[in-house]
Amino acid sequence: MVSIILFILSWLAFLVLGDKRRVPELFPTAMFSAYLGLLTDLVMKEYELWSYHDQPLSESVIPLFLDFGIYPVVAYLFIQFLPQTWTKRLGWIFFWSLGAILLEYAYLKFELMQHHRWWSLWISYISDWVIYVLLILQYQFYKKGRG
Amino acid sequence: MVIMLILFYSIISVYFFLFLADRSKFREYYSSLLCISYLRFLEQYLLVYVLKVWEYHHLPLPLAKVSGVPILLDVTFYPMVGYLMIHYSNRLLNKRMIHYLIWGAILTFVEFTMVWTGMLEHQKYWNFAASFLLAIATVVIIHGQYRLFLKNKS
Repeated sequence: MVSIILFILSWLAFLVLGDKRRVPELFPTAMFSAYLGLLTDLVMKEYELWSYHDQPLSESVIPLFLDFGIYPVVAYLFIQFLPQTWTKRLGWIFFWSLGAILLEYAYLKFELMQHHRWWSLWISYISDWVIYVLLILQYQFYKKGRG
Repeated sequence: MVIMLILFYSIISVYFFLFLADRSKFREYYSSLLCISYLRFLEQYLLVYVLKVWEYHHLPLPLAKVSGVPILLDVTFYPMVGYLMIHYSNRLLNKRMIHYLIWGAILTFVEFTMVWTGMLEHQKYWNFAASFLLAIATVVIIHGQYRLFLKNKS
């Protein structure tokens, strides 16, 4: 149920905070975020590093709620308000990665998510930084193609 | 056969991106390449793991154990198809419809080669008619997002 609520809250946040005029510019970033989510979901099916348990949703459906909810919306808002300089961007990444890791901590605490094998919260935190840097880099790449 | 098929599709797509594709178009086509790869991931996830109407067999070990599905083709061959789809698209509506049908048929043919070699097996109610409809939907989405991407281009 938490994943469904999170999905609804994400899209509400987009409706309130998202600049809809920038959809043609920012939707590839949202898609890239969902793309990474789906890629990890496919890998996790065979090489399980984490899993979700959130009734009434089945284990295979929970990732889809995240891939179509919080991931694209967070990526959209992250890039929409992205500062110009890299110094400020580091602070910006720190702010968003802190939010991401706190959410994951809550998921673990309430047993909605479990880590397996060698995966840990620290590796998740490093991954969050990598993902946010990738979001910026791919945005800068395709932005030039739009002129 | 399966390994040969994966190698064949991967090698021609790598060759295409290295030597044949117009690199100046990469930024403009970025969203299309990403979109087709994304849609393939989504199809694989839904059809293989949620609906269980597709099943893969005889995959080479690294692909079978780590990814479970041929992710390699989704990040090499299908972006090439997306590139060509957008590169040779037509703005006239009637010609665009034929374009959708042709690319839908091409994508279905690619899936047929996977079934023929034994890499992919259709389960339950799934058949090539469903694959063809899914392929056309994919082509329509690719074109739609490309037009959206170029909207209000500064």
